[in-house]
Amino acid sequence: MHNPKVLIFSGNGINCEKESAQAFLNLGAKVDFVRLKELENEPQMILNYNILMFPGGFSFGDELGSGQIFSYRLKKSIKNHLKQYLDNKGLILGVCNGFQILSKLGVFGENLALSLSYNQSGRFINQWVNLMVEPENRCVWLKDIQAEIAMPARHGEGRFVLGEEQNSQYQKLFSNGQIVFKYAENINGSDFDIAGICDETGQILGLMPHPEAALKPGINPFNSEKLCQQIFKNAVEYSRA
Amino acid sequence: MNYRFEVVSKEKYKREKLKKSMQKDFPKLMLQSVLEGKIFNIESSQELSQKELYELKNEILHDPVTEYIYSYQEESSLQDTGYYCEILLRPGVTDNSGAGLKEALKILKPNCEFEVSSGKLFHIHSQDEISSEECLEFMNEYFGNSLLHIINAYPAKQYLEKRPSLYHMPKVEKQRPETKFYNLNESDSKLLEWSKENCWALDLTELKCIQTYFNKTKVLEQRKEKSLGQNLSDVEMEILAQTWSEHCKHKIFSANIEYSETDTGVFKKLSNLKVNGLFPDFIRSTTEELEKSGEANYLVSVFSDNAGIVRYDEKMDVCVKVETHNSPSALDPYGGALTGILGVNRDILGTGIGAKPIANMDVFCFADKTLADRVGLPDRILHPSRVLEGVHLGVEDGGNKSGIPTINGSIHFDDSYAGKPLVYVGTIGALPPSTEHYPQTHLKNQKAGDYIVVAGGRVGSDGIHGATFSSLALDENAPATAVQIGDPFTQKKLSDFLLEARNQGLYSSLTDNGAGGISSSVGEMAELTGGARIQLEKVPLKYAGLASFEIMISESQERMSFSVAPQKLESFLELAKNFEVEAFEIGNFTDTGFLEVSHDGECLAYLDLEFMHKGLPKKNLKATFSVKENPFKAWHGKDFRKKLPKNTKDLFMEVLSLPNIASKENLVRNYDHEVGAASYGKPFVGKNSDGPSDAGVIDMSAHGGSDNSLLAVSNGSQNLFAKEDAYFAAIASVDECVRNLVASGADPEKLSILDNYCWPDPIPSETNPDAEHKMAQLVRSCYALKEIALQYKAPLISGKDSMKNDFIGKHEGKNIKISVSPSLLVTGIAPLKEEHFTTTNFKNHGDTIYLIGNKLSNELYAGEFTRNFLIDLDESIFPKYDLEENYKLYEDIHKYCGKLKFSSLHDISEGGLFSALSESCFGGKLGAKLLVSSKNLSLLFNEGLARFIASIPQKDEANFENAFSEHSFTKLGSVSEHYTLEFNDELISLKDLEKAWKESVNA
Repeated sequence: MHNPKVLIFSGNGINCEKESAQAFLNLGAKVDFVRLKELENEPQMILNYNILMFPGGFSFGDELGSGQIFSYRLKKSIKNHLKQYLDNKGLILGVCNGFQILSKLGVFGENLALSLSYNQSGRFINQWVNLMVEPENRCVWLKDIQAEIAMPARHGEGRFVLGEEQNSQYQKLFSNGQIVFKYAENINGSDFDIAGICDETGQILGLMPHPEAALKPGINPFNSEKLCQQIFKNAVEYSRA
Repeated sequence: MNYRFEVVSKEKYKREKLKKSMQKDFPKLMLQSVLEGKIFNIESSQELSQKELYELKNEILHDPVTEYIYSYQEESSLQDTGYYCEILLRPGVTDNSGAGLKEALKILKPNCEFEVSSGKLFHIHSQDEISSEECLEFMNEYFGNSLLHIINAYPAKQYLEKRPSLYHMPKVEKQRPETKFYNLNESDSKLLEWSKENCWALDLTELKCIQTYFNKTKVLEQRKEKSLGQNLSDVEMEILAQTWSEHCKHKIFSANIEYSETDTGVFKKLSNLKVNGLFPDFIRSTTEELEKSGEANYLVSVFSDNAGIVRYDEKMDVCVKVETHNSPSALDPYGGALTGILGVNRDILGTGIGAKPIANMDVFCFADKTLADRVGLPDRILHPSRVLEGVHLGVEDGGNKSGIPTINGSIHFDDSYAGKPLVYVGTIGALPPSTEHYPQTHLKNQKAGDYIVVAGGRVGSDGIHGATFSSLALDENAPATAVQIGDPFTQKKLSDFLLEARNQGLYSSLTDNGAGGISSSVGEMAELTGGARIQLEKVPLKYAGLASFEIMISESQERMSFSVAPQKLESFLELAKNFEVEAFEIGNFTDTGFLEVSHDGECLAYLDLEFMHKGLPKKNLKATFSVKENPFKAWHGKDFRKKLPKNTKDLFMEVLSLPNIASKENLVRNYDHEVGAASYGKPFVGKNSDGPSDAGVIDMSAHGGSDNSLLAVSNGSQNLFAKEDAYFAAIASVDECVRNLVASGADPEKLSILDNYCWPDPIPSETNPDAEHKMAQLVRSCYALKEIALQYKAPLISGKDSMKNDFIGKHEGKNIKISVSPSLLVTGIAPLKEEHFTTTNFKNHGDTIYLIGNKLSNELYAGEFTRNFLIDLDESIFPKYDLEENYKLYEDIHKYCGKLKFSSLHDISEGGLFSALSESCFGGKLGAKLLVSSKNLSLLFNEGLARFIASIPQKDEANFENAFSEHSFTKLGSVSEHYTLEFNDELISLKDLEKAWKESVNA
């Protein structure tokens, strides 16, 4: 049994890389950090890893819209290697800004008109939320998790929006098992209460709230640390298998 | 080629929201719809292909799911009725969106040169006819700041016609002015004229001192060698002015003061005093005495660096710094607060060999939002709501975008803050005591021969004489220098780079560039090596045309100065490139004893460091205290105290909705308070996370500290007492800070505190006849600070002062002066173990509720209650206290936290026992069955020192009473499952009280 290798993005305004790394280190995984510029020089390096993580933060200050510039630069660098990475059973996690980056990168479906836009309140909000796990989801990261999970949400642009033809897009995501998390109480006005989804393979998970910030009993006032830990554990075990 | 794009939102709710908030502030405009959009202007050295344009529009500039984009060449579907307003940036104003766009353009077309400028577009549609002028006025007031923006308003049809030609690219067009030279052997009036004209802010004694020094033969000979004559260059005058400024040298805190009292009334008598400097006599000496007596053996570095450093844990040192950014926030609340918080973050980054900022805190003092309706706003004063929104957003963006959690703070409201808002911003840092490359990280190791390297942003004329600039007219092409917008993204990159360079040991020392720019940062660093040589042509500029002195003193943000050994320079610069950070070598440290500045080979400054840093003459000031002459009466002369409501419930609801007592939760939730996953104690606690906590608590183990090591951070500021007696206010502020720490479970034997003074000007002048009283209050405050700090064994580890917090202007045609209530913010830290951690909310129905501390129920004391309701008080009576007893109580509380534990513990401050009790109920969603009367106003509303509301399991009653047998306590009743306050004579629903408490400030 080998220890999976995790590559975590840092720099360019990303700011949750440390606690994200800790989540994997706790499980015996090996973690490397990479900055966008290093990756642009050597994009095929992702193929040496089992898990890729895009942590939260404000990449490029989110100046042109959340994750916009970061995902544009990724399109120009690693996008061509992503299919091979997924074919090799590689996993990807995007949390908060990472989720925004992944959705703008288009990994959740080629024709999916999806965006994470300003919260309905128009303001950043930091609040613990309860997430309901969709029972029929196909996400590798959520294997055997069927409970309500509490974790902190911390975002200004977290409202999950499906563009035109909302209902049919939602139906498609739903029947594909791509809906993963819904808010028990919709804090930002997301369409269909959606807080997180996965891609068609189930290997890529994106969500707005922060499971990596809910792993320690003292830090987590709602006793959900084991469930949050399970998300990372699923990924590590999947990569070990 | 020039391009212009408009990006507007597709989303309806956004328009509705904007309309609602604008309508609230401008009821006379009957708004039908409001639309906010973005404008991007791009200048490219080569034409973009169709494919590149497509990519630019659809993958860079807009999000096709939520936005429309229109290019200037195309038809748009923009409405042709109403008005369009453009808000564009003035030349030289920091353009964060533009900078972001440039990052993407580099990838789009790598070999092409781009200039970009962003702006905002508003479409306003009113039911009534409005004129362009009205529209413009409205935009100016609501969205723009004439110091930063160019605002254009067009009737819709006109805008749609003009669209293709509205391209706007602000460029600073400036010729580098010649260096000026000053012969100081001139008349006194001429010297003072120069000082005023150039914003040197030097007084006659100081100017004369410079004059005498530069007339010395020895000095003349030294200068001759550098081809400099007797005349001082503007570069030299500016360096001296910065170095000797109140901001950098704290002249008032080092002055000799004669203090006397004529009539102290009911307040503390200090008798007459001769003070040889407030800082050495009361602040530094406090820490030295505690160190000497062995009470503070955890101090690593105090008063000598950017921040104080303490060691509670052998694995990780803690640094703390608190700053104020009052004047910049008065001019531009958002920019002022943002640069304030980023600035104090840099202080931490520049502490020792570079610490990591791990938490922010903020305390604001404002007039409340009803001021405009109650008395009308003075001329040139921003609406208090604008100030609060701007400052709050600045601190929010500064913390959130830097990935630093904002864990603690408060907002205080008083009409005395209408002229100058107070904006305190603080940061905690973590610094490993030693690393592979630095055996003692608190020491700076720059050596003669090391290169001076500046990294971060480029230099523009931002913040040159910032605070005084607002009185000058701005012309169209002048760079806006008065106000600065921070750039958290650039600073985040700089901070990532800095910490990696530290890991690799690539520099020998560093400091931040704040007030005074390079002149201060390099000037200070040069003290250790004994000299520095700077070549101004090497300093990277935002645009050409800066005068030599401007480059030297510019306060352009997001920059740090490093000293780098010659053999490390290449690696240092290489690493910066990898982190996408700009870094430039600009000179060397030397041991010549001089600061030498040249520009294109010409020597423009040659200053003896000894004279620069030690030549400043001491001030002599007078302080006279008399209660009969109180300059702190309300500036508008009005009394807004309300009649006491007859009905208890009405009274309770009114008390809980007072701005200083009401919940600030909605504002606090806009701050990320958990990034880093180390926020052990969060700002709000309890069942629904809506009960306020007493202190922020950081899990230091997440930052490299030992397992089970927490750090509590709190503030205390009881400034409204200072209008009458700053002595008592200081005692109350320190006690509030310490009891907040103790209530959270922190160890009172390991306190460290900081003082931040924001005072009305205590220097006498024609417009300041009350200076001696203000000075006396400052002496009383410092005297009290020392007294209580010694008693509480709380060393002062850092501090700062801001001494000009007055506004002189007009109100309803009359000349007025608004001086802030003398304000001292006390910030404290102390360590604790996880098992000591205690929260404020009631936990279990049936628990016994105690008041710990003095009952204070015989007479009504001055406090938040008496400030807001008409109560007959002959004179202000402040609560009695016994500091020695307080400290013993704190020790016993800490012991109890470790052994039996409280179910909850909450400190009592504004609004007295009643507010604290209500908050414990709100947090726990539980009620209280009380043994007291709802009519006992003094018991319910008095505020005193060292008092708490505690709850414990009923079975522990005997143990509790035994543990606190040497202290005062009163059994108040028990926690009840019904959400009510059940007094022995009345039952009040907590649901209604909670609503009143939550909706006053939040809404």
